[in-house]
Amino acid sequence: MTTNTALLAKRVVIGGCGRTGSVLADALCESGSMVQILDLVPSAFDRLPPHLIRSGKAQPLLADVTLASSLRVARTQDADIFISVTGSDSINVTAAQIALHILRVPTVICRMDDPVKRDMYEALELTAVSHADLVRTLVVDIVRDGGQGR
Amino acid sequence: MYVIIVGAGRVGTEIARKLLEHDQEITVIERDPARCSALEDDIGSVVVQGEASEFNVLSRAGAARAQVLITTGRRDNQNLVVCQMAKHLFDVNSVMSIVNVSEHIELFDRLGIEVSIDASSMLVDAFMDSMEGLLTEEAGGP
Repeated sequence: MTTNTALLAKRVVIGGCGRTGSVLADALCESGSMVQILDLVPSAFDRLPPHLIRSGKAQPLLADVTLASSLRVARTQDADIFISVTGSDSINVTAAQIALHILRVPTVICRMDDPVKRDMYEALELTAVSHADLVRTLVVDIVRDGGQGR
Repeated sequence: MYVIIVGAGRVGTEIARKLLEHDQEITVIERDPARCSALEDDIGSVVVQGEASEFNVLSRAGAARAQVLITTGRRDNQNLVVCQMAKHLFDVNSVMSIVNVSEHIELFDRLGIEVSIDASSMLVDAFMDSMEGLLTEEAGGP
């Protein structure tokens, strides 16, 4: 982890304003990034901390992340990073590949719920983050430390 | 040739029937149990029930020895993922898909999914063409 938060200041587009998306938006805004966060459902944006919206650091936008035209409205083509964290693997894979191959976003990260498909993500050169893998790593660490997790 | 067809809707069923007429080996993957049994009554036991985007379901359908996989679902992102799984996890030679939203054709093309037929937009275009005369008349009207 870096302590130089300026390194993290980027223009970020996040697809999906669920628990993961809203927490990510908060963390990235905190480190100085400008965040555009997209969801199909207006009530999803209720999860965002209100001060982020008031300050303009996080901009919510109704959009379908599986459509290039919709992602273009959010100016995803000008973003440094696109992160797809909706609740559906297939939506995330589609959105990530549109961002990577059509909109040419330099860094694309997508959420992967089903680690069985890891080889596919590797073949597609998609950077994937798996909840299951993270939980496994953390739990294994706690168990190894004798169950004294903080 | 062994072909896997994903989706037992009108298009999937028709492709299955045609391939059987040509004495090809096929399996249809369909998520809805009612549709599965209807298809079995119709063309025999060539159906695997389940979600094709799950590894185990594709595996059960014998994707590892399929030469062709065709997705006919209504959700393009689901079609895309199943095609990419077939290609990259099961080494299926050719993968083909229906594309429901014309905007997605570009993506499928770039990702090497061989045939992309945009059924609904073809229909919409055809209807719009047929109405063209009527529409211009109205626009030029009072």
